[in-house]
Amino acid sequence: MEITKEQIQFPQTGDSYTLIHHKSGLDILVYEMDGFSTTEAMFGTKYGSINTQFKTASDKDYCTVPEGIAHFLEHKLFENEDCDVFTLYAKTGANANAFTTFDKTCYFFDCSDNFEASLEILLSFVQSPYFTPESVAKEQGIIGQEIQMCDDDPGWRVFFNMLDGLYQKHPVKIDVAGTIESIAQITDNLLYRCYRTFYNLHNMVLAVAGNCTVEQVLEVADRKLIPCDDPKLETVFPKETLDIVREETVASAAVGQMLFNIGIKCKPLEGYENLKAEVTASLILKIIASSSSPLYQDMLKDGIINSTFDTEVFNGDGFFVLIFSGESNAPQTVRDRIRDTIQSVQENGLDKAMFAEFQKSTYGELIREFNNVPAVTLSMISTHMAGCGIYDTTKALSEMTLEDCNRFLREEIDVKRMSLSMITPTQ
Amino acid sequence: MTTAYKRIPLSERIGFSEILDTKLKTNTLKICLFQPLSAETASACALAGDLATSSNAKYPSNQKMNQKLHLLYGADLGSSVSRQGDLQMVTIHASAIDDRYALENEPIFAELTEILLDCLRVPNVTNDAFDAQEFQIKQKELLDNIDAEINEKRVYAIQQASKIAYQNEPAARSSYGSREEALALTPKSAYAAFRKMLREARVEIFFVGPQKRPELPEKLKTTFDAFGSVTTAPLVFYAPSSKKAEPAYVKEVLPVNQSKLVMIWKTDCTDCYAVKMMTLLLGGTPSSKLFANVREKMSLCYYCAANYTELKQALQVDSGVETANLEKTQTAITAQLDAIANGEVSDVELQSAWMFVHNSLKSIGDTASSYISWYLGQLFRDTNLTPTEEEDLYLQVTKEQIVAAAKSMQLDTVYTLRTPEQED
Repeated sequence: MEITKEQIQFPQTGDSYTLIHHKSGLDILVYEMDGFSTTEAMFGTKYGSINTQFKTASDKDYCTVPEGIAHFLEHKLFENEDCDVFTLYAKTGANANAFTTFDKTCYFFDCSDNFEASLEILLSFVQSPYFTPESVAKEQGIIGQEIQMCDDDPGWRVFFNMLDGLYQKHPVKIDVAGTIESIAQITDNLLYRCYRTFYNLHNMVLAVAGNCTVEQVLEVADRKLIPCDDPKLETVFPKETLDIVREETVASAAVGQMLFNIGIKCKPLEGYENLKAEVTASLILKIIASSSSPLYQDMLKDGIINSTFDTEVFNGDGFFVLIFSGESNAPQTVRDRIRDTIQSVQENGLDKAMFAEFQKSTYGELIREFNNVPAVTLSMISTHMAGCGIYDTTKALSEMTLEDCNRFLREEIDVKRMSLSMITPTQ
Repeated sequence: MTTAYKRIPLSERIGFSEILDTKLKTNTLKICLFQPLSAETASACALAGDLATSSNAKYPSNQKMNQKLHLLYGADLGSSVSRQGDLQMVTIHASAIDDRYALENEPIFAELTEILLDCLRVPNVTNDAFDAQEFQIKQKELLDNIDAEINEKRVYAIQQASKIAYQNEPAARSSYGSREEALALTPKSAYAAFRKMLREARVEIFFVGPQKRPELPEKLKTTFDAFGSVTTAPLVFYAPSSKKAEPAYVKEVLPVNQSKLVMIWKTDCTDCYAVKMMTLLLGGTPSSKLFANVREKMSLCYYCAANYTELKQALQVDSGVETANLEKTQTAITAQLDAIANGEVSDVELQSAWMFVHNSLKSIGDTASSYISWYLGQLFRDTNLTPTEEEDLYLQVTKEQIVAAAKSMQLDTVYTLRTPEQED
């Protein structure tokens, strides 16, 4: 297999990036940004907390693994047989880290010098797993504390309680890091199995942005990437209907202000259709509930929200949720007002002037993103893993019509699929 | 690509910095107002900044203001408040994409500048009082912010520890002021505080964009001249905190899953580059002593980080741990600081810290905010260095200076936030 390169242009800003299908099986994205001092590289796999059931062509049956194992694997990969990866980065001066989300695990660094040496470290350690029973036991203590820390984060808890109220079985409802109990079941052998399944170059992407060239990246990639066969990975999720689990979830914590998340469960999609739906839904949320909307201003004047009120589209493999979040002393009233407003616009249609207003503001937000090295890197890897390109959001936005939004509103949003999660102050 | 920096004094108390960088796709204007952090003005100025940017006479409601900003391609206009040593910094900022990306050739930045200046010149005021309805909303917002300080436990623990460490100093106060102070405000008192701030505060204004905006200095000067000017005592950015005779040990119990430990030391050492190098070696990077030992070897925590508050000459280490491991962690942290004081610093560790500094300094200029932070730092230190010149100062720090910096640290405060069941 030969290397193929594709140059992708963005006429509005004159920017472009290169998509390389590398002979090793890896897709590489390089965004050269003139004048920037830093370079960021991100090496990611399409493996996150929701991928708990999977098989490859060589497996007979599907394997089910403990919750939180993708995140655990991320931590453990930073340990080589002979040293800690941070010790290697310390020699190049790069700033390195990693993260695990619902559907991906990414390892990254940023640097202002020694880019090639740091890229070598990144590509090498992610391809060199080393797990032992002792190192797994050691990590259980560290991740145990990370889980405890997240348990004390009311924003995190109110979000997962909402997902738990929306999803019957889909693993999006489980915490990315798992639980103290689930990570206790993780062994070195299980980590190796997950690694071999998901960390193959056909399931991975390398994104590099900033002060770099395609030639620099390819020179290191050619030397360091270890070609592998496509194992024909299959992941499955339990069957999930659009019905929600419950309408309300209440929990308490040491908070000064009551927090809420309101989610509306929608039909999940894939590829460009998913991106288009995301952009459409995001625009609808802005028209309905942004700071210039009557709903927002009325709730603000009535003192039932403050400026923490926000909206978001949360979507991925098998899940799609519209979220309204914030602080309130009356979350049920907020929920009722949102429901009434949605039903009203479903009947009467969205405001045309507001549609134009948010098409413009969203365009501005996208242009800003292309001015930031970490934002470009993350956006490239996320959109590519989702089967799209970094400029497709702008394309979807420019193609969108008011009628598209009204159709989505009428056909895809059902207020009966709404779940409210609240965190109240502990008495 | 070209970059250029120029600072123009607009008056004795007002400076305007122009930072031009052709790679940028946005224009940013930031007005930083410094005043002593006091009970009389903290809440009022925090609220006034918020009120001034949420509407003005031309866009007389938050809804109308936001509509206009959305039409300016999602331009950002707002205010924030923070503590800098013993001072309160109220920041009023505006930013938007550059005009060359406008789809209908709108002069985005010129319009945004006028809106920002109108927020100062013609705020949404009647009879010397902010609009009553907007005031009510923003006062609630301020009270909610004060109440919500407990929500983020790591931040809350650090705030609580700072209150103990800086007791009887302005830095012990929240930059939002207290609940009582916020409740006592009226539309009139908030507006009076706003006018006073515009007249008396030390002001630093930053413009960061791809090309020169020659009209800006004069527009800003005219705007501020109209408020008049009152000469006040020069502000002191450096305010080293006084040392306690004995360290304070304070425990607080809350229904949480994880306990928090915050330790604060103070120093007389004025060699800030040596202290900063020492802080990096102790717990500023993933190859630091705290990360390598307290987290990786002892598995006690997920985070254990060191930070140096230069303006107060105070070193802070914080961690989240099991309640049963609080004492063990405190001992382990102290042991790592002692190790540096005993000269246990390898060449590899030193090299790593220098590489980290080099990487951080060289990346300044990739965002508008990094430029502004850099030049604000120069203002605080009354220096005029380039990042390269500052890097040289770090490189000149010797191991002996680092050891001396570690030895100079005197334990001041140990604060623990504990889970209820483990209460002593």
